[in-house]
Amino acid sequence: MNHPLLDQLNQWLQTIEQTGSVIDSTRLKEWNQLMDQLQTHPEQLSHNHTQWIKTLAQNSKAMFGLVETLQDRSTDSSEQLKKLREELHQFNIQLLMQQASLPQHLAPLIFTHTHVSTLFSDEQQTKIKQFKSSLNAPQFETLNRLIETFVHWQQAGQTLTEEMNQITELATQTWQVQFDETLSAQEQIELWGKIYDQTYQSRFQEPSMQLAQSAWLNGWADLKIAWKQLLTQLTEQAGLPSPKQIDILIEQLDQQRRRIRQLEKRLSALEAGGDHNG
Amino acid sequence: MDNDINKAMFDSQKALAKAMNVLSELPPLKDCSLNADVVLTIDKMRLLHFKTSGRGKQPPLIICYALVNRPTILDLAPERSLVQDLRAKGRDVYLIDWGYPDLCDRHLGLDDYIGDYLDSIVQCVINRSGFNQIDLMGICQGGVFSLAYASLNQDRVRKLVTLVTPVDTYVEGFTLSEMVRETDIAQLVSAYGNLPGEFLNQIYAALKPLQLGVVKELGLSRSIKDSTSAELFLRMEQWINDSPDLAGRAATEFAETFFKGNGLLTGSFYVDSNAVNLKTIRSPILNIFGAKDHLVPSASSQALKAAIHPETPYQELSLPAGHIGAFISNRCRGTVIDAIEAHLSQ
Repeated sequence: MNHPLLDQLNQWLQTIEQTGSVIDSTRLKEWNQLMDQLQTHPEQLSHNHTQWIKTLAQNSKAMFGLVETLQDRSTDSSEQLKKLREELHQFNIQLLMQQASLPQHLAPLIFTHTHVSTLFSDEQQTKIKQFKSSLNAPQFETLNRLIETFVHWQQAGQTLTEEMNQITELATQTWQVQFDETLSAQEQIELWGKIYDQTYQSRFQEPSMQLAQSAWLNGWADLKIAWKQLLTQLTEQAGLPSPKQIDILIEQLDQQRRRIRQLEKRLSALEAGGDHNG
Repeated sequence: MDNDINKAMFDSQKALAKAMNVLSELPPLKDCSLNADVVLTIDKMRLLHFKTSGRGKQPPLIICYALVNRPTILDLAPERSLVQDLRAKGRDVYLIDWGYPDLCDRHLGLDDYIGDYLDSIVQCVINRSGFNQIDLMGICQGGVFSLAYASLNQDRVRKLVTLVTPVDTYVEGFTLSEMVRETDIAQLVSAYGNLPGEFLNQIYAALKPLQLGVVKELGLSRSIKDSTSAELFLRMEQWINDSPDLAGRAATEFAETFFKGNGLLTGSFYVDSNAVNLKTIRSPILNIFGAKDHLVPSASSQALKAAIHPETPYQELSLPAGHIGAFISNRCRGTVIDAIEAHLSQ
């Protein structure tokens, strides 16, 4: 079966191979357009593995974006290193945000704003104040606790990012020392990955890193619990089953399950005893 | 430098095109794992029986996998199956499938998994097989469970195999253990109910953030170079992403008792109020581990030797592999099967 996109892909490669062209910005643009199509309509290639086709296309674009940056002759090597550091800083943030699973429009704010006062705009802060003043004391307390845990978690994220940036710095220095021009691009990437991960594992022996990682995770747990408490309060006021009530129900179900298990075991023992006697 | 980059980019694009070609022709993955008889079901736990092809002249083998990840890794594909390899050697194999805990299972603890489920499984297999003992193989956390069970039920366990099993949680370089010790698992369980499988996956990936993340992604097209390698790669990815949640109470107890308390070595690991003491194990032990295991350092597994009674027959096998590679890679699987067979046949 002919896949038009595959034909275009193979055609593009043949052109480069036959003409011995350098992969310049024009060629890269053609390639990126192909990758865009594959990302948008992977089912044109295969209905069975669309996710992997999208991932391959996405990775290819990302890698060539990075190569384009490195090939940018208008910047010197120190400027390129600075760009690389910024890319890696963003990588660390992305890594942490993936762990947090927050809505994407909210998560970036956490790492660019260190205080609640700068987290929200003046208009938003006015509305928050009005909203707070309309709440009765228990609601205010619960909401306040949620905001406090959010800020603590945000600060923990900042601290952890600083630790990870130190890892990046150390790993970059090590990589500069071990850089070997004779290695292929793939080998360079693998070397970088190995150095970074070894640096990460060594850094994890440091109490400051361990505390930063645990503060991040513990902060996240506190935030979820505070959110659950607010949800419990709101659902109970609305006369709906609350998370707390569901927890109680689950406990009761567990007790029933254990009683049934005990009965099953006694029955098995009786049957075994009966077989023995019979 | 420009030529090098040019060549590297061109090679990368060729590999990508090849991978796209392979994916376009690859049919959907057929479900070929864990096709066996279900001989016991308790709550979400199922005991699977892979019948031997011959007459079982030796006690049956029960494989106890970890609660995290699925035991499908042991029967990934017909040509990549530790379970089928053992069957082919004439072993009568039982595999524990712990299932997918949901919020109703959040109160299941180690007493339930080891004291109830594992004990009932052993009893069931003894009843079915006609033997009065079984052989027990534990993998990773399943190995911890197996050691605990064997120490408390000496009369039922003829021989023991531990595979990539952590014993000493305070060895240097045990990053996972360090992470767990610093984290308030009880608080996380309060927040989530059960520890989400996705969350656990992120923790494992965080141990090698680049090699298991970006580097792996960039090398993706090289993993999909033909239909055979593509199918194996996709099955592995399917397994990696098929992570059950970890029952809340079991997660808390394991973190506190095993990781923080170093329970197997300090005598603070209890099952049904009975202290686990590795020195009471008399079953001959084969301890297999990976020298390149970044999840469970080999030193943690090797600590078993000093922890058991000096008169307990003990052998160990170090493999040039990582945590999963130790029992799934083509390079090691043969060695592992031969070693297990030799140990169980002695």
